Amino acid sequence: MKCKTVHTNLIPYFNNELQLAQKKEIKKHIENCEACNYKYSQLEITFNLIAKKEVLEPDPFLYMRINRHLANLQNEKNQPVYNAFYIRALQPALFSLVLLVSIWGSLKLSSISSVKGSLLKTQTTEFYFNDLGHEKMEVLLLKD
Amino acid sequence: MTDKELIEGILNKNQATFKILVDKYQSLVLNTCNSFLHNKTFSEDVTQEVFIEVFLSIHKFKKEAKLSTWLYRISVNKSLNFIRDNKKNNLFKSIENFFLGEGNQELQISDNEHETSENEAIQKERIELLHQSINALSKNQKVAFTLHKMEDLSYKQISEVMNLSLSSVEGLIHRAKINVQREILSFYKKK
Ligand SMILES: [Zn+2]
Repeated sequence: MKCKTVHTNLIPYFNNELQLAQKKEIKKHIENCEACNYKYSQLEITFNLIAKKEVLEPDPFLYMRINRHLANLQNEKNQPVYNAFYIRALQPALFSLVLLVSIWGSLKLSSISSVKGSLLKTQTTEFYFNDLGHEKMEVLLLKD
Repeated sequence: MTDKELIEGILNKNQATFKILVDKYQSLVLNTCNSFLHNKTFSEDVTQEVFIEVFLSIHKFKKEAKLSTWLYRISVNKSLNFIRDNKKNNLFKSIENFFLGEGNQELQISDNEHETSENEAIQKERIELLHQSINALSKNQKVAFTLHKMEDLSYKQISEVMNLSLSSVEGLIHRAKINVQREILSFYKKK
């Protein structure tokens, strides 16, 4: 029997699904062929590891953790609705409002400052042509 | 306390009864999850999710059904969802990566080390190959095969958990077994 024929029959051979004659032939080949023997034994060892199942020990804190999680879920549920929905909806609106107010405010401020600026200008102009500024008050009183 | 009493108690929001249920079925849930996830921490996290779901949806439980069947079903679904959600995070390496040689790395490292650690590495590689081969199965094959081979559930129990006929379960397990064996063999053919 050729190695290739053995390969194609290795799984049915492993699962004991072959006719007795074929089974005997493959058995004989595997015993004498190193390559086929290696493949068969690896299949056998690896597949049979399924039976060696790891068993986990229970976690003593599991119930506590579940309880805490359920309490958190309950707390979230009990919070007023606006916490979840309104804040999300109102936040952008509130932000735009603040933005608009600040824009309006800055426009208002700039117009006030331009009025103030013109006032100052008149004052300085007046003062500029007033020669009283050049003389001291005491002198002015004495002259007359 | 019978399962029926446990369910009644939880329906009446009785905390103590819920604790009894968790204690009674923790091992079943934890080990079922671990059969799919092969990781203690992940399995503990999913177990927690399973019991939270049990507590929150106990009113959906049909009283004529078996509690263990329902717990197996939730455990399987939560575990499969966990694998799906974490595939993109590479927590569950694909079988392709394994065959590309990632699994051989440890073997090469241990070549210079002690013989026992080399044996351990070979054993670890075999277990990894087995898990990857099962993970590569289609969803239904994976569930039926894992519940049968790892959890020792009968065909009848599996048919109840999966809501399938006995013959479907039988077919799924048979095809799964062949597919797993093929994957294992193809790995060693390349070596
Ligand atoms: Zn050969």
